[in-house]
Amino acid sequence: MTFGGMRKKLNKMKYFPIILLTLFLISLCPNNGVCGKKEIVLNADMQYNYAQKCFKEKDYTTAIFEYKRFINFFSDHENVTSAEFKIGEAFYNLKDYEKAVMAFNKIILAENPEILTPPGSDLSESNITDAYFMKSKALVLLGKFVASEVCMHNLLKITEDKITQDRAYSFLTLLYLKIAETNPDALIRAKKYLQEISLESVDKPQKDHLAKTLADMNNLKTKSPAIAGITSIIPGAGYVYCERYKDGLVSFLFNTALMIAAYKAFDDGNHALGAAISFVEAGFYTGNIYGSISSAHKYNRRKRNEYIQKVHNQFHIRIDSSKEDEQIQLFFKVPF
Amino acid sequence: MALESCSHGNPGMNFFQEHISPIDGNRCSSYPSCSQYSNTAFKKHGAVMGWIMACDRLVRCGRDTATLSKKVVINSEVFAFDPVEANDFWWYEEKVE
Repeated sequence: MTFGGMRKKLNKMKYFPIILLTLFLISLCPNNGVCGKKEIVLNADMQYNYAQKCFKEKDYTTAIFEYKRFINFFSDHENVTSAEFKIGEAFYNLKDYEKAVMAFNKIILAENPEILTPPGSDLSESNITDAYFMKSKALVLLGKFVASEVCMHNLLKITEDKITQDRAYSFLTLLYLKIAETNPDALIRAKKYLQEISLESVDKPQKDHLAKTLADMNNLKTKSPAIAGITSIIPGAGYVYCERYKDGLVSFLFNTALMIAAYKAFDDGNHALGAAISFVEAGFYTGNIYGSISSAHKYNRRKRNEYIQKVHNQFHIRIDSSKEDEQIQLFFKVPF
Repeated sequence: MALESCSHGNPGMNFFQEHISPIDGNRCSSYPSCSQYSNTAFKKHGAVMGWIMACDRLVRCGRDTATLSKKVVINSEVFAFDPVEANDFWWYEEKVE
């Protein structure tokens, strides 16, 4: 290497420390806006509001996830119970009733005071009350009527608030009206719970409507299966008693014809034919008695179902638990 | 929903469904048809009650039952829904599994 080449190389090398120092200083630069990336600190309100937003937009799956994240990271926050309730509601809206029941149960078991204070006085108590109702609704939709009733009775044990009690009795009334579609004895229980609803909190038209509904339950038209069976000794009379006039006429004519035919056969000495016709006639005669008794039972079931349908259609007991309005408009709607 | 035959071990009904009914087709205005109803009643309740229920059904079919029963639509035809369960509910308790 010549002296000139060495000199050039030394000139270049003098910049090397400056470059090295610059790189060192850059590496110490904090990760802030100056360098391009921004750090976001998520607080409880932001997380909760985001979950609420997802719920309002009916993105229930995301809402559940976000509420759970909120509960996990901010377990001491005052909105935790509300978040747990919202998780239950989200499962309910997704029609995952099993998980909804579990979610509402968690609230009920975790915060189970001996006595509930009236709704409106504290947000958490209101959530507990609503958790009982939502759990009961979900159980009804799962077909678990007994469990639903038990849940309502548990609520009645711990609440002293008249409005909540009336809501619970209304729920139980409709629950038993639902059960009465397949089990007629349930109608008596429905009537019993209907009477428990405080009429003081209902305005006069509602009160009159309630009274009339109770009276209708006592006046349901029924047919006696015993009378139907006894009258059917005359073929067709049992059907006529049950207001089945065509069946009665056909039964009378058919049985009469077979009886006459059997008599004629025996009278003509044709015993084999007479026996065969008698055998057939025995079946139809017994069938006439059986059919008459069965018709009475079917009549009673039809009248009962018509009444229940009428109650569901016309008599909506809907609880509007608006805290501003203590004069209750007692309506309660259970989405069966 | 296709009309199904329900001929389980009842020779009379088997014969009727296989040889007589196909001649003019299903003319019963109820569902299940009278022969299917009879077969079900025999199978469920035995010979005696089955025979009684079948006779009752033959008298009722197409008359007040057609107006009072619920309706079902099968292959675009409307039938009166009158199964065995609608006629024995008041004395027979279905076994819950």
